[in-house]
Amino acid sequence: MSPRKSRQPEISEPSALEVVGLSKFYGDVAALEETDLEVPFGQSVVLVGHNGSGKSTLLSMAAGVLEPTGGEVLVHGEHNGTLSARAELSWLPDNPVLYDDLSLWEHVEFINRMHGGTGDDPFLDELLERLGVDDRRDHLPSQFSRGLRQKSAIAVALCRPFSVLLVDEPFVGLDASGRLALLELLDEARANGATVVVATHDPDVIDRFERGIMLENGELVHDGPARELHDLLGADDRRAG
Amino acid sequence: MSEVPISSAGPTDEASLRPLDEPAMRQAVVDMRRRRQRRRLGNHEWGELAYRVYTTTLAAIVAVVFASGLIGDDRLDASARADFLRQAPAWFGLGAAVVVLIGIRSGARGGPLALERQDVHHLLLAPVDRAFVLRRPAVGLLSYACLGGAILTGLGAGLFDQRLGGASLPWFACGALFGATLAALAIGAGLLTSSRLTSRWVPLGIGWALVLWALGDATGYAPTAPTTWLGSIVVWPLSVDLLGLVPIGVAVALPLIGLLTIGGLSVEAATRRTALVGQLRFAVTQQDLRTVVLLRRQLAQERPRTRPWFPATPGPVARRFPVFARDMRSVARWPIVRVARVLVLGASIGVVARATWAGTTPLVLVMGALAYVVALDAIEPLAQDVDHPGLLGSLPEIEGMVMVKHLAQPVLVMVGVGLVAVGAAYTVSPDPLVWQVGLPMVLPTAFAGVGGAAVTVVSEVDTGTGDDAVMPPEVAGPRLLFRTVWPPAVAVIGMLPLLAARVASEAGKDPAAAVTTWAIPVVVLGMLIVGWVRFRADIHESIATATGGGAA
Repeated sequence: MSPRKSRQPEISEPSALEVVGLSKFYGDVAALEETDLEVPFGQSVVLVGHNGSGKSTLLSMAAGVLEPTGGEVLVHGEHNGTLSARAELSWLPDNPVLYDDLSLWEHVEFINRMHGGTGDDPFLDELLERLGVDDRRDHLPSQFSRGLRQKSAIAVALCRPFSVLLVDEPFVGLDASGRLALLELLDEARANGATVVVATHDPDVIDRFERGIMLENGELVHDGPARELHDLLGADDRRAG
Repeated sequence: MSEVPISSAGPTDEASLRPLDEPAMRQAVVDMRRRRQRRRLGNHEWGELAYRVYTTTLAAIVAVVFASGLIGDDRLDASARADFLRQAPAWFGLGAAVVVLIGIRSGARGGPLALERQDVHHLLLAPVDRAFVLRRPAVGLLSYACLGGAILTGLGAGLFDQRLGGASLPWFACGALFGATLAALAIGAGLLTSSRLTSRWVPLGIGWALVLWALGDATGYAPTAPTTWLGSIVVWPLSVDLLGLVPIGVAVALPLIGLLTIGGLSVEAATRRTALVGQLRFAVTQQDLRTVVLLRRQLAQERPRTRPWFPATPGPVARRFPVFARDMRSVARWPIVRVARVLVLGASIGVVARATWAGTTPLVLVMGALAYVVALDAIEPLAQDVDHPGLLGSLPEIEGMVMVKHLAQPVLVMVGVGLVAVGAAYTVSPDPLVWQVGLPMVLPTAFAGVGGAAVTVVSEVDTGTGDDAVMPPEVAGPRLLFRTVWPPAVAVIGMLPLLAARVASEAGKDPAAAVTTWAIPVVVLGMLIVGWVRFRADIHESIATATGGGAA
């Protein structure tokens, strides 16, 4: 596989990720009120909000793991359940999901192949190296610490072809080098044309993103430049204090 | 360091979506499964597996010999044989209808497959046809269920020759055919339901209709149900009814359609199921009924209502009886599914009671089991306090006393359930006698049901006396058996006044008087259980002191 450069989308093209009237209710409790969102190609978006604000719900529905009560999610104009959409979308949940009986290398090999790769691309080796887990490639993730499992999960999410990357709380359990490596990888993904949406509680990373979205009690309360989130989060914390 | 080419996956210049090489992707799934299977086989402790096979076979032989002794070998006379031939298919069919309903319910909740969480995340979200991914585990489950069903029912039916005559082999073969057909129907119906071709209420409605029809057929209130054709397969060695071929045909078609459409499985339901089914199985092996109840509710997504059905207990009453007021808040927040379940189970108690009155004595066990299940729902607030021993222990009152106060609300609920049961029995058979016998039955049913449920729930409380440690190991087995069987047995005891009333009625005496007379010992049993709930901790402490044990 060779690197591809980002491109400018045609004006008539659908967005990389489009959320139309999306909502999720558990009984009469709203986890996410009706929400509309459009994320163009190659944009990086940070999603913030307190616990229970609906960040994970929104991302899980976008990834196709949760079913919406109403509305739909389109990836490249296709419904997110279709084969084409699944091929484009990579999802890194907040809790690592790894097989106990496959080594780290077997994970990246098979998952790469399942998404159309050859399973032996040199970039897979490099990915493990950059995340600092190349010396653990033949180990079983069941023997890993929380931080190593998180790094493995990141490798598994990035080892496959994708053009839309959804990431939920990726910095939990990561050491400083792992955190830096992940931030660089996310930057590169975006620079190479991928659309990146990251949900986080970490205010220190907000400035690395172009667009910032804030959710509160399941409602979208802010959508604008990411740097504006600092003021909003500060005001919010002051209110809470 | 060179740039990691993450966007080797990114949008191409030619089209926004990548062309997919599906055969290669499917092959990757196959290869990964093979690798995992090889590793699992390599990790197997073959000696332990052989020992398990040995003990299972031994247990099966002991069970067959025991069952054989229980059945006896006195041949039935011609009239009894004719009765069996007439009634057995409908009863077997009723059992089959219940099993099929269980399959459909499982399908409505993302089953009957229980995938690994990793498979849901990596395989169902991969750009590979989900039907292809799910077919292999579905075929495995189907084969396992058919084989298990065939062996189980085959062995059971193989014993029929002792009373009904003929060779064992045909009985075994027909029993096995019945079991395999039933398993295929249940799994097939589950797969089809989980594929979401229609709303889940459609198959659930069909499932319930089948059960009610089969019940009506078995008790003589409805024409022949299709499940009776299935039940007739068991008695083919005596009389072949070709209508039995119909369910066999359906049992072939249903799983096939299910396997074709299984790709429609809900990823959300599958995810929820992966997390809960493993815990559920573990809880079952530990006979941890409370955990089973809680996990089953999570699986069914039963959540308390945010808007209560009725307003809070008025202030003065709530201040005087805070535990009761808290418990009624719990009932006020019951989800609609739980309300419906309690009403349906209550009505079922009434219908089954009517069939018991008509002469089918063993149905008293079903009545008791139903009352016990409803009471487990009704006793939820007490169970929640038991789940949080820290909270219970922090109250400024003796724990046993608080637990006793928790029993008022479930008894009240069970009285309501009893009235529903009487109403259902009257609907089935509009006879004033139903009211005369049914109304005095309400109280013993409530006391015994709540008594059984209370024994189950309160047994979970750790008394801190460490009495398990001082028990001789020989007692552990019988004690476990007693703890498992006694609670539903208490609920069944609550139904015995109905049998007394029937006997009195047959003897030309007043059945209502008989119910009242027999209700007294049941209520006394209920009061004894209340006393046990109140003083259980003291009793355990006394035992521990007497035996020189006690908590460190």
